[in-house]
Amino acid sequence: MSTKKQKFQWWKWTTIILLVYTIIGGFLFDVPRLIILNETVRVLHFHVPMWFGMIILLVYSVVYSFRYLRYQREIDDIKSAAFAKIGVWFGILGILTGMLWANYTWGSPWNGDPKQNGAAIALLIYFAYLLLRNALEDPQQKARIASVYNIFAFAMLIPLLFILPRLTDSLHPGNGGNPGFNAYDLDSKLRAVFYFAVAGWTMLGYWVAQTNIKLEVIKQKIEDNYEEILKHN
Amino acid sequence: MVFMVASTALGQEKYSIDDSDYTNTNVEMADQFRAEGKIYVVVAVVLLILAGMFVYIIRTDRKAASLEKKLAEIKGLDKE
Repeated sequence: MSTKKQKFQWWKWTTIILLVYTIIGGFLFDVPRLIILNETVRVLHFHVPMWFGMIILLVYSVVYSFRYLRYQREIDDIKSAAFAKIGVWFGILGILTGMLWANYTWGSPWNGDPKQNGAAIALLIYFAYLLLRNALEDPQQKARIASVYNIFAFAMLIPLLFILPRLTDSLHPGNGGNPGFNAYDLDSKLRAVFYFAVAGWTMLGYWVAQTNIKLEVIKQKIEDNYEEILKHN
Repeated sequence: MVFMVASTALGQEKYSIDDSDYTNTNVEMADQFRAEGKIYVVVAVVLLILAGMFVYIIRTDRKAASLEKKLAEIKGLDKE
């Protein structure tokens, strides 16, 4: 922990710039005029980055779980949990925005689409992770069991989102025929916003995680030094 | 064009977007809404909310930093 006056890090400025650009570009730039999608093609810059962001944040989470199991340091478990929590938030937002979009383009919020179902199952697995954390009392036991579970949860997430939907037909792009939206990633004008949107939203998630980690570390310090702090007052 | 859409609907091949998709006025878009400049109201509102969220998270960051400092002070005093 640095005791120097905290500087406003460059990557936070980058996050702000990227998201402002996402809003301006996402709403104002030219988009292809496609049947079924119409203006909702712009949802691409908001719905899809939730999933990209979720995956990246959950990768962070699982890396810190491995590190915890290897070095048994409390900080790694704190980081792992913080990234998992914000990752799950992104997933929930992804599901909800996806349902809204699907209602307009695919005719109903839930189509039993393999990727939709896979995402829902993956989220349930991660809900169980959060419940498991809350259910265990002993901090070391909690950290160890949660780390192991988190690795299994991530190992389930990949096939549910990236392998199983490809084995069958899906409405989602890149997973079989999709009349609504199948070639967006080939279009350079959408790409000019989309990649920056993914970076911006993901970095926002990272930012929130960092803030939560800081608060959680403070909480741990207070609990560990409770007597001292009482004496000081 | 119609053929391409139909073949995509059958899931046979990918439909790639080209320049004609940017000028295809048969597909209804919010052209009127944009022409009237109302889209800028939407963009301004969303940007304001985004700015508010950023201010909030930066303030929370600062609060956490000052708590860290306070804790460090307490521990430092006790060591003396």
